[in-house]
Amino acid sequence: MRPVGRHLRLIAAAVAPLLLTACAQQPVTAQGEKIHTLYNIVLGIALVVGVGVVGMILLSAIRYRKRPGDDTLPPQTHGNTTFEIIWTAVPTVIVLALFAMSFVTIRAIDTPKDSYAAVVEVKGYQWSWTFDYGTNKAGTKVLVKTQNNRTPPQLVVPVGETVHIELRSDNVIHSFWVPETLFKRDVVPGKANGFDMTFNAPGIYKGQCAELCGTEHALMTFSVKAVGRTEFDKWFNEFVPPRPECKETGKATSEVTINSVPGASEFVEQCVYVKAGAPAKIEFVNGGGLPHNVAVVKGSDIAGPALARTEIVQDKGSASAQLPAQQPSDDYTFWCQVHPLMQGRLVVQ
Amino acid sequence: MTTVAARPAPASPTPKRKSVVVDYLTTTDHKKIGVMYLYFAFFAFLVGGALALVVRAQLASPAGTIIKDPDTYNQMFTMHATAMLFFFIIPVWAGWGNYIVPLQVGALDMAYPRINALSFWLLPAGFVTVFSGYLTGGGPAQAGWTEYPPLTNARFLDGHGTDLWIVGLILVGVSSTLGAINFMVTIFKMRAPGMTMWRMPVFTWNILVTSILTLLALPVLTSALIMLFIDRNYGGSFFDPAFGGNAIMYQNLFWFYSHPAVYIMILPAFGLISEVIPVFSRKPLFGYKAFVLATAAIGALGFSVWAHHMFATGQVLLPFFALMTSFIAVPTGVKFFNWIATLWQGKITFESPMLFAFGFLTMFLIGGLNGMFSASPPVDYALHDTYWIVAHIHAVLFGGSVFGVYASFYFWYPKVTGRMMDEKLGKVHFWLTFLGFNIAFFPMHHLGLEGMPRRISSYAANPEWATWNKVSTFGAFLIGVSVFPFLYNLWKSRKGPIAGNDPWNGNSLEWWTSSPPPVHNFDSIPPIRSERPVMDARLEREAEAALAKGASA
Repeated sequence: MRPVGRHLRLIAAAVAPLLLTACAQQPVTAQGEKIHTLYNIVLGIALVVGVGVVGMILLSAIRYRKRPGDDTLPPQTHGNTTFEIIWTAVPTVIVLALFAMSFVTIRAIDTPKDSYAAVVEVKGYQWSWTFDYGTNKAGTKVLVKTQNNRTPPQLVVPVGETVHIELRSDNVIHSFWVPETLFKRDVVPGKANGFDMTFNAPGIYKGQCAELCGTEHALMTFSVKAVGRTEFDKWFNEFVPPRPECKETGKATSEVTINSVPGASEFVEQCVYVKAGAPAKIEFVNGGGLPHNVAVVKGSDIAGPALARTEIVQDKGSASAQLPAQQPSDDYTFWCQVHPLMQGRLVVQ
Repeated sequence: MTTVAARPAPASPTPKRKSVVVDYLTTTDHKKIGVMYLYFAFFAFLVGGALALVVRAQLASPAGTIIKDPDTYNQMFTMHATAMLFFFIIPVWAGWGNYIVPLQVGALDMAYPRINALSFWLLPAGFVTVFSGYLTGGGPAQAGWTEYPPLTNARFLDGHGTDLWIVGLILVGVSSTLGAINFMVTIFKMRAPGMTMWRMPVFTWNILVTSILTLLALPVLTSALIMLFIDRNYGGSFFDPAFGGNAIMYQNLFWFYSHPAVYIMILPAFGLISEVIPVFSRKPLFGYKAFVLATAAIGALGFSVWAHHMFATGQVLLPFFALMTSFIAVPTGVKFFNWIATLWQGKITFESPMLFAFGFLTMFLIGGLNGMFSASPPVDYALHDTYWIVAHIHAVLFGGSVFGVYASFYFWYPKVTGRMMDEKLGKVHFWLTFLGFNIAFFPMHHLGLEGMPRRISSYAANPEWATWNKVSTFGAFLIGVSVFPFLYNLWKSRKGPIAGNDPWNGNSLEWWTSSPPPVHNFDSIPPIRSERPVMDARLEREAEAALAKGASA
C-alpha cells in the first residue's frame, strides 16, 4: 500500500528528533553504566512495541475506514483463541526477559563490597546536606557542610574507587540524587539506607534532593567533585573545617551572649559581633546536658593564646569573661575548651 | 418481539411539578444523580486545570517569578492533583457508571437510590472541606497529593490545611465505598432477564471490577489517613520515627489503595473505549471474554504492585514488586491487541467519540510503554521523582482517562439530552487537545532525563531546562484553550439535531430506550441473547424487513 508507506515515512521523520530526546544522560559511574545499558534495552523494546502498535492502529484506521455508500456490515468476527494465546504468551516472555535483566542489574549495583575507599555519612535536613567522612590522620573531623544554607555543600570522592554512602535523616524524607549517575536513593528518617558509587572520570556533577521536603526543597542542591586519588588524600588529610561566613554589619555590641545547643557539642550562634576599641563582655549560657565553656583566640588556630575565657559550666547555667579592646577584624574564633570542634566566629567591627 | 418507536421525552419527570433545583437536590433518580456527578466532576476538572496552568506559568522561567512563596507553589500542585484525581477522574466515572450501568443491565434504577444520593452529596462536601484550607492561616495541604509523613507531621507542617485535606478525603472515601457497594449490588442483583454475566457490556464489567477494587483497597487508605490525623492532632506516632513510628508504613498503606486507584481511574475508560470501538467499527468486540478476564487480571495484579512507587526508598523487596508490575503489561497488552483486532477489517467511521478513542489508544500506549521503564527498579532509580514520572502519570491519566472521558461525553451526550453534539466543534476540540497534550507532556520525559526533579518551584541553577519547559507550558495553555470549544459545544448542542433512541447503531441496552430515557428507564426490553442485544434486535428487524420485501415481491 503506497499511501500508507508515505504516511509511515512522514511519521518517522517527525518522530526521529523526538527519539534523540529519549536518550538518557551518559552515566558517570560504573553503577550508572549498568543502569544505562538496561535503560537502552527497555527503550529498544518500547520503541519496537510502540511503533508496531501505533502502526497497526494507524494502518487499520486508514485501510478499514468506511467507504462512502458502503452500508454492508463487515465480517462479524467474535474472537480467536489461538490469537489470544499468542498475544498473552509473547508479552509474558518479553516481560520475564526484562525482569531477569532487571534482577541481574539490581544484584550488580546493590551488592555490598568488602572494603571501600571512603565511607561517607550523608545527612539530609531542611534544606541542605552534611557529608561526614570521619576523622583524618591529623585528628580533624572531616565534616562538609554549607555555610548559612547559601552555598551548596560539595561531596569530594576519589575517581575509579568505590565509595559507600550512608544516608541518614532525623527530620523528613529526602532523596539523594546525582542525575548523571542515573541513581537516587531516599534518605529516610528511622531507616538506614546506603549505596555504592564508583565515579569513572574526574569532574564536578550536580546533585539535588528529589523528594519533596518542604518550603526550600527546590534549593536543596549539592555537588559531587570526583578527583584523583592523590588529590583526594591531600584534601582529606589537610581538611580545614569551613569557617562560617560572618558578613553582617551594624550588629556589633559591647556585650554578647553565646548559647550552647542543649545536649549537643554545638553553639547556637555561628557568628557574634563585638564593637572595636573597647572591652566587651562575653556571656556564655550553657543549654544543659554537657560541660562547655567559651574561649576566644585571634585567628583560626585554637592552639594560640586565649584572649578571654570563661569558667567551664558543667550543666545548665552561665559564666562570663571580659574581652580586652581589639582592632577591627573578622578573624577571631570562639571555641569550647572541652570540645575543640565546637567553634564559632567572632567579628570585631 | 416488542419494539418501541422513538418516544418523546416525558414532559415532566415527576407527576407534581417541582422547580428544577429542588428536583435535583432531592432526587434519587440514578440519571439525575449521574448528571450531577458529571457537572461536579467537570467543575473540579476546570479548577484543577486552572491550578495546573498557574504551575506551568511558574515553570516557564527558571527563576519562577509568578509565585514568590514556594509554599504557595507547593499548595498549587498539591491541590491540582487532589482536584483532578479525587474530584474529577474518580467521580466522572462514578457519574457515567450511575447514568449508564442501570441502563446497560436493564434495571430501573440503582439498587439503593437513597444511598446513591448520599454518595453524590458527600463529594461536594469533601471538595468544600479540602479547599476550605485556602481560608485557614497556613493555606491548604501542601505536601503533594501523597502527603507523606514525616513532612506532614504537625511539627513540620502545622496549620489546618492538611487536617482539612485528610477529613475531606475520608468523606470522598465514604462516597466511593457506598458507590462501589451500590454498583456491585445493582450489577449482581438487578440485571434484566437474559442478561447473564457473560452478556454484560464491557463498560459495566469494568465498573464492576473498579467497584471491587474500591471496596477492597479504600479501607486501607482511610485507616492510613485516620492514623495520620491522630499523629497530627492527638500526639500519635504511627508514622513519626522520632517517636518510634515508621514513615515508610504510611507509603505502604497509601499506595495499597492509590495504586489500585490508578486502575479505578483507567479501567472505566478501558470499558468505555471497548464500547466505542465496536460501535464505530461496526463489529463486535474481538475476544469479549479475554477482554473481561484481562480486566479482572489487571484488578487482581493491581493489589500486588503498590511498592513500585517506593523503589527508591530502599525499603522494598524489589524483585517481587518488579515482577508483578511487569506482569501488568500482559493483560494490558491483551486489551490493546483485542482493540486492534476489533478495528481490523471493520468499517470505521470517525465521529468525535471514535476520534477520542483513537487519541486514547495512541496516547495511553505511551503511558503503558513508559510504565515499562519504571517497572524495572534500576531504571526507576534514574526516573523516579523526576519530570519523566510526571510525563508518565499524565500519559496514563490524561492520555488515557481524560481522552476516555471526552469520548464518553460525545458518545453518551445524545442519550442524556436527546440531542446530537456538533461534529465540527468536536473535531476542533479533539485536535487542540491532542496537540496540546503532546506538546505539554512529551517534553517532560526529556526534562526528567536531564535531571529536573518534580515538585520544584524554580530551577535557577539549571537554566538549560527553560526551553523545554516553555514548550511544555505552551502545550498546557493549548489544552486550556481546547476546553472552550467543548464547553461551547455542550451548551450549543442542547438545541442540536434530535438524536433518537439509537443515533450510533449501538450494541447495549441504553440504546434501546428513548433519549433521554423515561424515569423508569424502559417501557420494554428486547430479548437478550448476547452481549449486543440492541444490535441483535436491529439485525432481526432488518432480516424481517428483507423477508417481508421478498414475500411481497
